[in-house]
Amino acid sequence: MTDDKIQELIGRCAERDVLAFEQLVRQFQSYAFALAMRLLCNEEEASDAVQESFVRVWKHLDRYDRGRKFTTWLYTIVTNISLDRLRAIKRNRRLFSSRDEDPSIDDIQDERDLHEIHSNEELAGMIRALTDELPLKQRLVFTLRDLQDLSVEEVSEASGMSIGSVKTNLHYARRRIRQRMAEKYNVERLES
Amino acid sequence: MNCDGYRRMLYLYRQGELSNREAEELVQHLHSCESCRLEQERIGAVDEIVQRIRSYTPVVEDPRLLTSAIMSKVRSAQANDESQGILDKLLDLFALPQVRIAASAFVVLVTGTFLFQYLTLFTDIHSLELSAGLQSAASHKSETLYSVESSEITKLAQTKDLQDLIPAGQYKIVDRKILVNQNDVSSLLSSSGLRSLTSAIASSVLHVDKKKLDAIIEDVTKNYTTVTTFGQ
Ligand SMILES: [Zn+2]
Repeated sequence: MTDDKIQELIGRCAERDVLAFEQLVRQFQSYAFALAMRLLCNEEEASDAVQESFVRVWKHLDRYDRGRKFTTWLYTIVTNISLDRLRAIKRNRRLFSSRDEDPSIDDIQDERDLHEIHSNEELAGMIRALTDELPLKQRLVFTLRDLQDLSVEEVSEASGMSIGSVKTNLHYARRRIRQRMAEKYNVERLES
Repeated sequence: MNCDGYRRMLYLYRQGELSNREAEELVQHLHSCESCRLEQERIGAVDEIVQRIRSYTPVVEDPRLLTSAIMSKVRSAQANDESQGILDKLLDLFALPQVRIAASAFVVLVTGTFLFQYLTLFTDIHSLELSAGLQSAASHKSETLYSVESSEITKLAQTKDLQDLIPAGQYKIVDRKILVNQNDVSSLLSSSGLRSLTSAIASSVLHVDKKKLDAIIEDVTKNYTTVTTFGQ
Protein backbone atom coordinates (compact mmCIF):
# COMPACT_ATOMS: atom_id res chain seq x y z
CA MET A 1 0.00 0.00 0.00
CA THR A 2 1.41 3.41 -0.94
CA ASP A 3 1.88 6.18 1.62
CA ASP A 4 -0.72 8.24 -0.23
CA LYS A 5 -3.24 5.44 0.01
CA ILE A 6 -2.50 5.02 3.72
CA GLN A 7 -2.94 8.75 4.32
CA GLU A 8 -6.17 8.72 2.36
CA LEU A 9 -7.50 5.87 4.48
CA ILE A 10 -6.45 7.63 7.66
CA GLY A 11 -8.28 10.74 6.48
CA ARG A 12 -11.44 8.70 6.03
CA CYS A 13 -10.95 7.04 9.40
CA ALA A 14 -10.72 10.46 11.00
CA GLU A 15 -14.22 11.02 9.64
CA ARG A 16 -15.21 7.82 11.41
CA ASP A 17 -15.35 5.66 8.30
CA VAL A 18 -15.32 2.16 9.76
CA LEU A 19 -14.81 0.45 6.41
CA ALA A 20 -11.70 2.50 5.74
CA PHE A 21 -10.44 1.50 9.15
CA GLU A 22 -11.03 -2.13 8.33
CA GLN A 23 -8.74 -1.77 5.31
CA LEU A 24 -6.12 -0.22 7.54
CA VAL A 25 -6.48 -3.09 9.99
CA ARG A 26 -6.08 -5.68 7.24
CA GLN A 27 -3.00 -3.92 6.00
CA PHE A 28 -1.23 -3.57 9.33
CA GLN A 29 -2.50 -6.26 11.67
CA SER A 30 0.26 -8.69 10.77
CA TYR A 31 2.96 -6.08 11.51
CA ALA A 32 1.31 -5.32 14.80
CA PHE A 33 0.96 -9.00 15.60
CA ALA A 34 4.60 -9.71 14.78
CA LEU A 35 5.76 -7.04 17.20
CA ALA A 36 3.32 -8.05 19.96
CA MET A 37 4.28 -11.70 19.54
CA ARG A 38 7.99 -10.95 19.71
CA LEU A 39 7.48 -8.92 22.85
CA LEU A 40 4.95 -11.14 24.60
CA CYS A 41 5.99 -14.56 23.28
CA ASN A 42 2.45 -15.85 23.55
CA GLU A 43 -0.09 -16.03 20.71
CA GLU A 44 -3.16 -15.35 22.78
CA GLU A 45 -1.62 -12.42 24.61
CA ALA A 46 -0.30 -11.04 21.33
CA SER A 47 -3.68 -11.32 19.64
CA ASP A 48 -5.36 -9.54 22.56
CA ALA A 49 -2.71 -6.84 22.52
CA VAL A 50 -3.25 -6.28 18.79
CA GLN A 51 -7.00 -5.95 19.25
CA GLU A 52 -6.53 -3.51 22.09
CA SER A 53 -4.00 -1.57 20.03
CA PHE A 54 -6.29 -1.07 17.07
CA VAL A 55 -9.15 0.02 19.31
CA ARG A 56 -6.77 2.60 20.76
CA VAL A 57 -5.71 3.67 17.26
CA TRP A 58 -9.36 4.14 16.34
CA LYS A 59 -10.15 6.10 19.47
CA HIS A 60 -7.09 8.31 19.42
CA LEU A 61 -6.69 8.87 15.71
CA ASP A 62 -6.92 12.59 16.33
CA ARG A 63 -3.62 12.36 18.22
CA TYR A 64 -1.82 10.88 15.23
CA ASP A 65 0.64 13.36 13.75
CA ARG A 66 0.23 12.99 9.99
CA GLY A 67 3.80 14.13 9.50
CA ARG A 68 5.03 10.88 11.02
CA LYS A 69 4.94 7.42 9.57
CA PHE A 70 1.76 5.61 10.53
CA THR A 71 3.64 2.41 11.35
CA THR A 72 5.85 4.24 13.85
CA TRP A 73 2.77 5.49 15.67
CA LEU A 74 1.20 2.04 15.52
CA TYR A 75 4.40 0.51 16.91
CA THR A 76 4.37 2.99 19.77
CA ILE A 77 0.87 1.92 20.72
CA VAL A 78 1.53 -1.80 20.33
CA THR A 79 4.71 -1.41 22.36
CA ASN A 80 2.98 0.40 25.22
CA ILE A 81 0.14 -2.08 25.39
CA SER A 82 2.47 -5.07 25.14
CA LEU A 83 4.71 -3.68 27.87
CA ASP A 84 1.75 -3.23 30.20
CA ARG A 85 0.80 -6.83 29.58
CA LEU A 86 4.35 -8.00 30.00
CA ARG A 87 4.58 -6.30 33.37
CA ALA A 88 1.30 -7.89 34.44
CA ILE A 89 2.47 -11.31 33.28
CA LYS A 90 5.72 -10.93 35.18
CA ARG A 91 3.89 -9.82 38.29
CA ASN A 92 1.52 -12.77 38.13
CA ARG A 93 4.32 -15.18 37.48
CA ARG A 94 6.15 -13.92 40.55
CA LEU A 95 3.01 -14.28 42.61
CA PHE A 96 1.62 -17.54 41.40
CA SER A 97 4.22 -19.84 39.99
CA SER A 98 7.48 -21.38 40.88
CA ARG A 99 10.77 -20.35 39.46
CA ASP A 100 10.99 -23.68 37.57
CA GLU A 101 8.25 -22.77 35.15
CA ASP A 102 10.07 -19.74 33.90
CA PRO A 103 11.56 -20.22 30.50
CA SER A 104 15.29 -19.91 30.37
CA ILE A 105 18.18 -20.57 28.11
CA ASP A 106 18.13 -24.14 29.41
CA ASP A 107 14.92 -24.68 27.47
CA ILE A 108 16.94 -24.74 24.32
CA GLN A 109 17.60 -28.44 24.22
CA ASP A 110 20.52 -28.62 21.87
CA GLU A 111 22.44 -26.59 19.40
CA ARG A 112 20.16 -27.64 16.56
CA ASP A 113 17.43 -25.56 18.18
CA LEU A 114 19.52 -22.53 17.52
CA HIS A 115 19.24 -22.97 13.78
CA GLU A 116 15.72 -23.44 12.52
CA ILE A 117 12.43 -21.93 13.60
CA HIS A 118 9.24 -23.40 12.19
CA SER A 119 6.43 -22.02 14.29
CA ASN A 120 5.29 -19.17 16.49
CA GLU A 121 5.76 -21.46 19.46
CA GLU A 122 9.36 -22.27 18.64
CA LEU A 123 9.99 -18.60 18.08
CA ALA A 124 8.45 -17.72 21.42
CA GLY A 125 10.63 -20.28 23.16
CA MET A 126 13.77 -18.93 21.51
CA ILE A 127 13.02 -15.31 22.28
CA ARG A 128 12.06 -16.07 25.84
CA ALA A 129 15.22 -18.04 26.33
CA LEU A 130 17.34 -15.17 25.07
CA THR A 131 15.54 -12.21 26.58
CA ASP A 132 13.61 -13.32 29.63
CA GLU A 133 16.36 -12.44 32.05
CA LEU A 134 16.97 -9.02 30.59
CA PRO A 135 15.69 -5.92 32.34
CA LEU A 136 12.56 -4.68 30.59
CA LYS A 137 14.23 -1.74 28.83
CA GLN A 138 16.99 -3.89 27.40
CA ARG A 139 14.49 -6.51 26.31
CA LEU A 140 12.35 -3.88 24.65
CA VAL A 141 15.18 -2.23 22.77
CA PHE A 142 16.64 -5.56 21.67
CA THR A 143 13.25 -6.78 20.45
CA LEU A 144 12.40 -3.61 18.57
CA ARG A 145 15.81 -3.27 16.99
CA ASP A 146 17.15 -6.78 16.46
CA LEU A 147 13.96 -8.79 16.08
CA GLN A 148 11.46 -6.33 14.65
CA ASP A 149 14.25 -4.65 12.69
CA LEU A 150 13.29 -1.03 13.37
CA SER A 151 15.87 1.70 12.88
CA VAL A 152 17.48 3.23 15.96
CA GLU A 153 15.34 6.34 15.44
CA GLU A 154 12.17 4.28 15.19
CA VAL A 155 13.11 2.37 18.33
CA SER A 156 13.60 5.67 20.08
CA GLU A 157 10.16 6.91 19.01
CA ALA A 158 8.33 3.68 19.78
CA SER A 159 9.94 3.26 23.19
CA GLY A 160 10.02 6.92 24.17
CA MET A 161 13.71 6.57 25.00
CA SER A 162 16.45 8.87 23.78
CA ILE A 163 18.76 7.70 20.99
CA GLY A 164 21.62 7.54 23.47
CA SER A 165 19.61 5.46 25.90
CA VAL A 166 18.50 3.15 23.09
CA LYS A 167 22.12 2.52 22.12
CA THR A 168 23.26 1.97 25.70
CA ASN A 169 20.47 -0.51 26.38
CA LEU A 170 21.08 -2.21 23.06
CA HIS A 171 24.74 -2.66 23.91
CA TYR A 172 23.94 -4.12 27.33
CA ALA A 173 21.24 -6.40 25.94
CA ARG A 174 23.45 -7.81 23.20
CA ARG A 175 26.35 -8.25 25.55
CA ARG A 176 24.24 -10.05 28.12
CA ILE A 177 22.76 -12.33 25.46
CA ARG A 178 26.21 -13.11 24.08
CA GLN A 179 27.51 -13.98 27.52
CA ARG A 180 24.58 -16.28 28.23
CA MET A 181 24.96 -18.06 24.90
CA ALA A 182 28.67 -18.44 25.42
CA GLU A 183 28.24 -19.88 28.90
CA LYS A 184 25.73 -22.38 27.65
CA TYR A 185 27.04 -23.41 24.25
CA ASN A 186 30.43 -22.03 23.47
CA VAL A 187 28.48 -20.40 20.76
CA GLU A 188 31.47 -18.72 19.26
CA ARG A 189 32.54 -22.09 17.86
CA LEU A 190 29.29 -22.64 15.99
CA GLU A 191 29.61 -22.83 12.27
CA SER A 192 27.45 -20.41 10.39
CA MET B 1 40.23 5.27 23.69
CA ASN B 2 40.91 2.06 25.57
CA CYS B 3 39.64 -1.42 24.75
CA ASP B 4 36.57 -1.02 26.98
CA GLY B 5 35.38 1.85 24.83
CA TYR B 6 35.93 -0.16 21.65
CA ARG B 7 34.15 -3.15 23.17
CA ARG B 8 31.08 -1.01 23.66
CA MET B 9 31.32 0.06 20.04
CA LEU B 10 31.67 -3.56 18.95
CA TYR B 11 28.19 -4.23 20.22
CA LEU B 12 26.75 -1.44 18.12
CA TYR B 13 27.58 -3.24 14.92
CA ARG B 14 24.47 -2.76 12.81
CA GLN B 15 23.96 -0.09 10.17
CA GLY B 16 23.30 3.32 11.65
CA GLU B 17 24.37 2.52 15.17
CA LEU B 18 27.82 4.05 14.94
CA SER B 19 28.79 7.24 13.20
CA ASN B 20 31.15 6.89 10.22
CA ARG B 21 33.92 8.32 12.28
CA GLU B 22 33.37 5.90 15.15
CA ALA B 23 33.24 3.02 12.70
CA GLU B 24 36.54 4.09 11.14
CA GLU B 25 38.21 4.37 14.52
CA LEU B 26 36.94 0.94 15.44
CA VAL B 27 38.31 -0.62 12.25
CA GLN B 28 41.65 1.00 12.95
CA HIS B 29 41.70 -0.41 16.45
CA LEU B 30 40.71 -3.91 15.34
CA HIS B 31 43.73 -4.00 13.01
CA SER B 32 45.98 -3.62 16.00
CA CYS B 33 44.11 -5.44 18.80
CA GLU B 34 43.70 -9.19 18.71
CA SER B 35 41.57 -9.48 21.81
CA CYS B 36 38.97 -7.07 20.44
CA ARG B 37 39.01 -9.00 17.15
CA LEU B 38 38.26 -12.19 19.05
CA GLU B 39 35.37 -10.49 20.81
CA GLN B 40 34.06 -9.32 17.45
CA GLU B 41 34.01 -12.90 16.17
CA ARG B 42 32.08 -14.08 19.20
CA ILE B 43 29.55 -11.33 18.75
CA GLY B 44 29.24 -12.26 15.10
CA ALA B 45 28.36 -15.85 15.97
CA VAL B 46 25.60 -14.75 18.31
CA ASP B 47 24.31 -12.27 15.78
CA GLU B 48 23.87 -15.07 13.27
CA ILE B 49 21.50 -16.75 15.68
CA VAL B 50 19.67 -13.50 16.27
CA GLN B 51 19.38 -13.05 12.50
CA ARG B 52 17.77 -16.45 12.21
CA ILE B 53 15.26 -15.51 14.88
CA ARG B 54 14.61 -12.22 13.13
CA SER B 55 14.04 -13.90 9.79
CA TYR B 56 11.10 -15.85 11.15
CA THR B 57 8.08 -13.56 11.07
CA PRO B 58 5.35 -14.51 13.52
CA VAL B 59 2.35 -15.76 11.59
CA VAL B 60 -1.20 -14.66 12.23
CA GLU B 61 -2.95 -18.01 12.15
CA ASP B 62 -6.31 -16.76 10.96
CA PRO B 63 -6.06 -13.19 9.62
CA ARG B 64 -9.79 -12.92 8.91
CA LEU B 65 -10.63 -13.92 12.42
CA LEU B 66 -8.23 -11.36 13.83
CA THR B 67 -9.64 -8.62 11.60
CA SER B 68 -13.18 -9.42 12.60
CA ALA B 69 -12.25 -9.56 16.28
CA ILE B 70 -10.63 -6.14 15.97
CA MET B 71 -13.51 -4.67 14.00
CA SER B 72 -16.16 -5.94 16.35
CA LYS B 73 -14.34 -4.26 19.23
CA VAL B 74 -13.94 -1.08 17.22
CA ARG B 75 -17.60 -1.06 16.26
CA SER B 76 -18.77 -1.56 19.78
CA ALA B 77 -16.38 1.11 21.06
CA GLN B 78 -17.78 3.43 18.42
CA ALA B 79 -21.40 2.60 19.22
CA ASN B 80 -20.74 3.01 22.92
CA ASP B 81 -19.21 6.42 22.42
CA GLU B 82 -22.06 7.63 20.28
CA SER B 83 -24.91 6.13 22.22
CA GLN B 84 -23.29 7.32 25.42
CA GLY B 85 -23.23 10.84 24.04
CA ILE B 86 -26.84 10.66 22.97
CA LEU B 87 -27.91 8.98 26.15
CA ASP B 88 -26.16 11.51 28.36
CA LYS B 89 -27.94 14.31 26.56
CA LEU B 90 -31.25 12.50 26.77
CA LEU B 91 -30.84 11.95 30.46
CA ASP B 92 -30.00 15.63 30.89
CA LEU B 93 -33.09 16.47 28.93
CA PHE B 94 -35.14 14.10 30.98
CA ALA B 95 -33.88 15.68 34.17
CA LEU B 96 -35.47 19.00 33.27
CA PRO B 97 -38.47 19.50 35.59
CA GLN B 98 -40.80 20.43 32.76
CA VAL B 99 -39.97 17.32 30.86
CA ARG B 100 -40.11 15.15 33.94
CA ILE B 101 -43.65 16.28 34.64
CA ALA B 102 -44.58 14.67 31.39
CA ALA B 103 -42.97 11.67 32.99
CA SER B 104 -42.46 9.51 29.97
CA ALA B 105 -41.90 11.63 26.98
CA PHE B 106 -38.64 10.79 25.40
CA VAL B 107 -37.02 12.13 22.34
CA VAL B 108 -34.26 10.23 20.74
CA LEU B 109 -32.42 12.10 18.10
CA VAL B 110 -30.41 10.51 15.41
CA THR B 111 -28.53 12.06 12.58
CA GLY B 112 -27.77 10.23 9.40
CA THR B 113 -24.78 10.87 7.20
CA PHE B 114 -26.52 13.58 5.23
CA LEU B 115 -30.02 13.13 6.45
CA PHE B 116 -31.06 14.68 9.58
CA GLN B 117 -33.90 13.09 11.33
CA TYR B 118 -35.88 13.05 14.48
CA LEU B 119 -36.56 9.73 15.93
CA THR B 120 -39.38 10.28 18.30
CA LEU B 121 -40.09 7.81 20.96
CA PHE B 122 -43.29 8.42 22.82
CA THR B 123 -43.63 6.28 25.82
CA ASP B 124 -46.56 5.54 27.97
CA ILE B 125 -48.96 7.80 26.17
CA HIS B 126 -51.64 6.94 28.63
CA SER B 127 -49.97 8.65 31.59
CA LEU B 128 -48.67 11.35 29.32
CA GLU B 129 -52.20 12.18 28.32
CA LEU B 130 -53.45 11.94 31.85
CA SER B 131 -50.81 14.33 33.02
CA ALA B 132 -51.80 16.66 30.22
CA GLY B 133 -55.37 16.47 31.47
CA LEU B 134 -56.67 14.70 28.38
CA GLN B 135 -59.73 12.49 28.39
CA SER B 136 -59.10 10.69 25.15
CA ALA B 137 -56.49 8.36 26.53
CA ALA B 138 -58.48 5.19 25.96
CA SER B 139 -58.65 5.70 22.25
CA HIS B 140 -54.86 5.77 21.97
CA LYS B 141 -53.52 3.42 24.48
CA SER B 142 -53.90 0.18 22.61
CA GLU B 143 -52.28 1.72 19.58
CA THR B 144 -48.75 2.75 18.82
CA LEU B 145 -46.61 3.48 21.78
CA TYR B 146 -43.37 3.59 20.00
CA SER B 147 -43.42 5.69 16.93
CA VAL B 148 -40.49 6.26 14.68
CA GLU B 149 -40.51 8.44 11.65
CA SER B 150 -37.50 8.08 9.48
CA SER B 151 -36.46 6.21 6.39
CA GLU B 152 -33.13 5.54 8.05
CA ILE B 153 -34.92 3.97 10.95
CA THR B 154 -37.04 1.87 8.64
CA LYS B 155 -33.86 0.52 7.17
CA LEU B 156 -32.68 -0.03 10.68
CA ALA B 157 -35.69 -2.18 11.38
CA GLN B 158 -34.34 -4.69 8.93
CA THR B 159 -30.97 -4.84 10.60
CA LYS B 160 -30.09 -7.58 12.96
CA ASP B 161 -29.50 -5.35 15.93
CA LEU B 162 -33.05 -4.14 16.09
CA GLN B 163 -34.47 -7.56 15.33
CA ASP B 164 -32.53 -8.93 18.26
CA LEU B 165 -33.97 -6.26 20.45
CA ILE B 166 -37.54 -6.51 19.30
CA PRO B 167 -38.37 -10.01 18.11
CA ALA B 168 -40.09 -10.21 14.73
CA GLY B 169 -43.84 -10.18 15.00
CA GLN B 170 -43.79 -7.75 17.90
CA TYR B 171 -43.40 -4.78 15.62
CA LYS B 172 -44.60 -3.80 12.21
CA ILE B 173 -43.59 -1.12 9.81
CA VAL B 174 -46.36 1.13 8.52
CA ASP B 175 -45.72 4.31 6.57
CA ARG B 176 -42.11 4.54 7.61
CA LYS B 177 -43.11 4.10 11.22
CA ILE B 178 -42.10 1.28 13.44
CA LEU B 179 -45.06 0.24 15.50
CA VAL B 180 -44.47 -1.67 18.68
CA ASN B 181 -47.13 -3.24 20.88
CA GLN B 182 -47.76 -1.73 24.23
CA ASN B 183 -46.86 -4.97 26.00
CA ASP B 184 -43.54 -5.24 24.22
CA VAL B 185 -42.59 -1.68 24.65
CA SER B 186 -42.26 -1.94 28.40
CA SER B 187 -39.02 -3.84 28.09
CA LEU B 188 -37.71 -1.16 25.78
CA LEU B 189 -38.41 1.43 28.39
CA SER B 190 -36.14 -0.03 30.99
CA SER B 191 -32.92 1.87 30.88
CA SER B 192 -30.96 -1.13 29.62
CA GLY B 193 -33.48 -1.62 26.84
CA LEU B 194 -33.23 1.98 25.86
CA ARG B 195 -29.49 1.81 26.09
CA SER B 196 -29.31 -1.10 23.70
CA LEU B 197 -31.81 0.49 21.37
CA THR B 198 -29.84 3.68 21.27
CA SER B 199 -26.65 1.76 20.82
CA ALA B 200 -28.20 -0.28 18.01
CA ILE B 201 -29.32 2.87 16.28
CA ALA B 202 -25.99 4.57 16.78
CA SER B 203 -24.02 1.62 15.48
CA SER B 204 -26.25 1.34 12.44
CA VAL B 205 -26.29 4.98 11.58
CA LEU B 206 -22.67 5.49 12.59
CA HIS B 207 -22.39 9.15 11.86
CA VAL B 208 -23.53 11.41 14.60
CA ASP B 209 -22.80 15.03 14.07
CA LYS B 210 -22.31 16.31 17.58
CA LYS B 211 -22.93 19.96 16.74
CA LYS B 212 -26.19 19.26 15.00
CA LEU B 213 -27.22 17.03 17.83
CA ASP B 214 -26.55 19.80 20.32
CA ALA B 215 -28.61 22.18 18.22
CA ILE B 216 -31.55 19.81 18.16
CA ILE B 217 -31.32 19.12 21.84
CA GLU B 218 -31.44 22.81 22.46
CA ASP B 219 -34.36 23.17 20.12
CA VAL B 220 -36.27 20.38 21.78
CA THR B 221 -35.47 21.67 25.21
CA LYS B 222 -36.92 25.06 24.36
CA ASN B 223 -39.95 23.60 22.66
CA TYR B 224 -40.60 20.77 25.02
CA THR B 225 -44.30 21.61 25.13
CA THR B 226 -44.74 20.20 21.68
CA VAL B 227 -43.58 16.95 23.12
CA THR B 228 -45.65 16.98 26.25
CA THR B 229 -48.85 17.97 24.52
CA PHE B 230 -48.75 15.09 22.11
CA GLY B 231 -52.13 13.46 21.81
CA GLN B 232 -54.21 16.60 21.81
ZN1 LIG C 1 41.08 -3.71 21.97
